[in-house]
Formats: sequence, C-alpha cells, structure tokens
Amino acid sequence: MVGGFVLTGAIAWAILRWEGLRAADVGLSRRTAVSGALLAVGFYVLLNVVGAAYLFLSGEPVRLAPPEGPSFALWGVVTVAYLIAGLAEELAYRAYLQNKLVALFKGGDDRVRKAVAILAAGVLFTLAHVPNRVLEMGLDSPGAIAGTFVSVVVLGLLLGVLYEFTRNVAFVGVLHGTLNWSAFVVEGIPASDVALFVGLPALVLVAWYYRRWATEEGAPEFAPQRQRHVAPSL
Amino acid sequence: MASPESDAPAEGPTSPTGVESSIEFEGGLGPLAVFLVVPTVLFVAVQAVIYP
Repeated sequence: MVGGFVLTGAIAWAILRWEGLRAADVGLSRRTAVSGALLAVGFYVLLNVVGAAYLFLSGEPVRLAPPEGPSFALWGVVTVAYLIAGLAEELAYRAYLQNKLVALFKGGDDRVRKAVAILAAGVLFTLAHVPNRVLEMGLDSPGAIAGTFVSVVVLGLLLGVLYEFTRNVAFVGVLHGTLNWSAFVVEGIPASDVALFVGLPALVLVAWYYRRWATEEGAPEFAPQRQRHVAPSL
Repeated sequence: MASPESDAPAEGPTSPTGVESSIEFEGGLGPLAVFLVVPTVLFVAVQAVIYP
C-alpha cells in the first residue's frame, strides 16, 4: 500500500519539476510542514478538549479510550503509512492537479473560475478513487457506488477548499491521512455531533487564522496560479 | 548581476509579500496528460494482476 502512495508522490513531484516548480512553491516545505502539522494536531486537541468539557459538564466520567489495534507498534506503523498516503495524495491532487487546473482555467484572480477548477479537480480525485473502492469493498449496486462517489467528491472538495485557503500541503495531508482514525481519544464523546458542530466551524476558523498569519509572514505560496502561454507547434 | 537601480521587467501581480510573483506552470497539457494517464495505466495493470 505504502509503495503505491510513495509512487504517487514521486510522480507528482517529478511532474511539478517538469512544470518548472518546486514542492515549496506549492506549499510543501519545512516551514509549511511544521506549521501544518501543528495546525492539524491543534485541531484534534481542540475537538477532544471540547468533547471532554461536554462530558464533564454532563456529569459523565472523562477517561482516555483504550488504543485500538493489536499492538502499539502496529498502530505506529499504520499511522506512518496513513500520513505518507495523505501527504502523497495531497501533493498529487491538490498541490499539482488542482493548482494546474486553476492555472489552465485562468482562475488565479477569478473566484468563479477557481471554484470550477477546484470542482473539476475534486471530480478527477473521485474518479481516481472510486474504482479502487468498488473493487476492494466489493460494491455492486448502483446506489452503493453512487453513495461512494458522492462521499469522495465531498471529501475532495473539502480538502480542495482547505488547500486553496491555506496553501499548506502538510495541513491537508495530515487531515487526509488521519481521516481513517477516530479523531477522539477521550471515551464516550458524541463523535458525530462534536465533529459537525465543533469540527467544521473549527476547521474554518483554523484555516482563516492560518491564512491571515501566513500572508502577514509573506509566505510565497499564496501567489496566484498561472499557465505560461505555450505556442502550438507546427 | 542586476543592480538595485536596474528596471528589470516584472512578472505577474504583487503577492502578499510585495514581491512580484506567481505560481507559473510552464508545461502546457503534456504534464497534465502524463499525470492522468500513468497512474491509470498502473492501476489497471495492478488490478489485472490481482483480479485476473
């Protein structure tokens, strides 16, 4: 599994170089890795603190959930594998594909064109994932396949908008890579309610604050995407 | 080496840093086509091995 994702990341990196760009130009550098990882960890800490406070105020006991999986070592290996998968796919589908489509659609300074490009990138991200899911999960009914398609489109759009707003591959990569986890380490938190009513607003707030901070710091990855005119060959 | 007084042509709009910049893709449609086709071919090949 990890080999496939490493290959995905390597292909994306090689194509970025072919396009005359470095990973740092599109939001993957040591600076964005540190800030993005801190941002994602802070988001998960916030969810758990709010959930624990809710349990405490409700008179429920607050205790850590026992770790899932057969062993701590295996849990660590799986964590690293998911993080590699998330970072590789975000480098490929957001940092390269989405930015490239924004540039081709001339959406660097036009919000409508940019939105269309993000939607197109989300659909291509979905088309790349649904066949694998259909085969691995053995989906055979049109309803189940359509449901998978819609859920992956929504995920792709959420990650696409978060990337465009933060231009931080590490942030969206860690979020993407940890989606298979339960976000909660405190036992008994009403997960879906906290995720919906705290998680989504917190993501918006975190992304907004990060963008404000990063642009004030002069982060170069916030420059508009452009496609150099290529003269057609005869 | 350009001196500070030289009037080198600027490229693109002004970024939040105040520096003229943009994320410019130089490759046309070729790199995009490779990005879309190569993983698809690899996926089909792997699935053909797994599900012969």
